Amino acid sequence: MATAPSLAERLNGRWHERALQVFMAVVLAHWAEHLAQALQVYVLHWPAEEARGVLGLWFPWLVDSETLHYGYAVVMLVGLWLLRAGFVGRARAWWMAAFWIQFWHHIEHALLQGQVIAGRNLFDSPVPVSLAQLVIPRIELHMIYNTIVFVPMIVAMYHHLLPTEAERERMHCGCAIHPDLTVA
Amino acid sequence: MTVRRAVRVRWTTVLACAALACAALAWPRPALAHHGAPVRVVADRRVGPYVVSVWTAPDVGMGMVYVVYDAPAGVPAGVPFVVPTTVRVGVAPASGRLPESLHDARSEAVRHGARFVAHVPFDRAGVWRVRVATTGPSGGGELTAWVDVAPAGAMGPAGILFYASPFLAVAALWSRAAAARRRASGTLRARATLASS
Repeated sequence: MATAPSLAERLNGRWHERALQVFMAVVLAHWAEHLAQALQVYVLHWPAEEARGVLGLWFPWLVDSETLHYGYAVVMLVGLWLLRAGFVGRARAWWMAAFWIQFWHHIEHALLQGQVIAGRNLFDSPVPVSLAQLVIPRIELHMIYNTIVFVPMIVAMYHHLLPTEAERERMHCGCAIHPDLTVA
Repeated sequence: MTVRRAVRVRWTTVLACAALACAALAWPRPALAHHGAPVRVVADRRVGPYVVSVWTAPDVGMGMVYVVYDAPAGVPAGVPFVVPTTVRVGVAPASGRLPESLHDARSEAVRHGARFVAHVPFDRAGVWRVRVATTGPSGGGELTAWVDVAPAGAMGPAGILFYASPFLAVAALWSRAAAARRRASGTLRARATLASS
């Protein structure tokens, strides 16, 4: 008797396309917040500390807290891991590259949280610091991390939508442009 | 069956880890990774009865100056550390275009020594002088450091384009997929026409 597919199997099978769309919507919402911040600073000329994006207009404490940012890092990590099995071939390699970069990004956030919880900071710093902040000690680090996770994600999705014949034969989802045609 | 169970256990572990992470987020903390980390501009300089380090996060707008006090080497164990009474931080552009502005630093809780933090205004990028004046029952003194103040977002208005780029990337992916879809359905239609004729 055939057993019903598990949630993971569904997410990487017939629900893969929809799951990827939802995941991408979350990722783009995060970028939209940063875009809104940039517009607030450079177009509306708001002071940097008051430019908290759209969400921050109603929930300023949330945007200023680690809760939202660490939560987003966790959501990204879980999403990249949950949806990995649906990718094959080149798409899988790029997707996993995004996953491992995000894994390290999460470790950095965990290091910061750990210093706050332990009450001791690395390198005698007066505030908690992450390892990459030693090399790139400014706000741009967050942007760099988001970019280097996003780029391989997009490349993975490109190869996933337009797979080679061999790759498409191994896919269990309906994400490829047309299952009956080879798209070069 | 065994494979299915193993898979379930793995997912349970992932969910448990996620739940633990969420538990660690249960109370709000400052967004640590999204402000620049401070840079040490003075390391272990002797000022009166203290060994002082100064760290700054010199962003245009509101910058931060951290002053860290420790006892000098050779102080016997058990001798209590005397916390400075007042710490004031003066900042002025090196060009001399503005007079020095003085700001009180407030004490922060630390496990050993003492730490004070001051919020100081830097109206423009450039080199600024930072002067720290310390007074306390055991004595005090002053020290001066120079810091390079820079905008918090180094990209400037180009940041708008940068943050818009993911949307452009997704739009490009979308249009590429749509073109491929059109081509594929065109091929299907052609095949159907051929088959019917």
